[in-house]
Amino acid sequence: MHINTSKEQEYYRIAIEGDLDASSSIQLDEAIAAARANGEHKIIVDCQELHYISSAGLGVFMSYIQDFQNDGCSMVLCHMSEKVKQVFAILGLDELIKIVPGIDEAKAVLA
Amino acid sequence: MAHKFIIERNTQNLKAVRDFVNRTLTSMSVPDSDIAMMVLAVDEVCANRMLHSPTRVMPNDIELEIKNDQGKLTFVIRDTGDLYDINAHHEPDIKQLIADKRKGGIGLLLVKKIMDTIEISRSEPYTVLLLHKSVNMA
Repeated sequence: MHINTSKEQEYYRIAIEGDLDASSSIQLDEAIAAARANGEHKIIVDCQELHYISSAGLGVFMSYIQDFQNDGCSMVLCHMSEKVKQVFAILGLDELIKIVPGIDEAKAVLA
Repeated sequence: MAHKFIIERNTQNLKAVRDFVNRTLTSMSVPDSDIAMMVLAVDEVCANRMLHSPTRVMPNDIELEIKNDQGKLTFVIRDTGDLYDINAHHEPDIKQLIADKRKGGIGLLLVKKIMDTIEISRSEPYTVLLLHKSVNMA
């Protein structure tokens, strides 16, 4: 699993490539923690190349919901395949985490 | 035909576990949508065994076997780790986990939601889990 980060205007993009499971989810956790530590307030998680997610990956996203609500940051996930989205839906996390089709919609949500 | 797979209990090997489940269920003509969910369930159980059920005896492996009786699928997962009764696992409150900023606690919940029934037993030195799922075959 690889994570690439980039900054475009006020948007901080975290792109996940590969499988997010019990062995790799720590990398996503570190990427989000680093973004928050750097004061990033508008985070887009690009899931275009995310092929698989398990509870370990879901747990990382879940653990930041409260922090984002508390400090006024926003995180939006985009470009998610139906297969990955189904995993979020099993526990209703697709209702608690903002998921949109593409980058433009993500920017619109964060604007 | 036996569909068996043995691999060291190491989370770096979870991808190989998923690939085995995917490959085997595809060869059995199980529908893709069912395969994705069962790959997830088996991955969750194996990850849980590797991380939370320590073993004190060799071998430090997980054995996985998949049986198909006309759409009645059984996943046999066997290792020397401690017994943990998934069926007695307290179902977590998702909103409370979020409030507590917890990263774990939902893996076994996913397994219970995906599989029909789960059996767990101990036959020294092994713990054996049977995950059952009926699917409509194409």
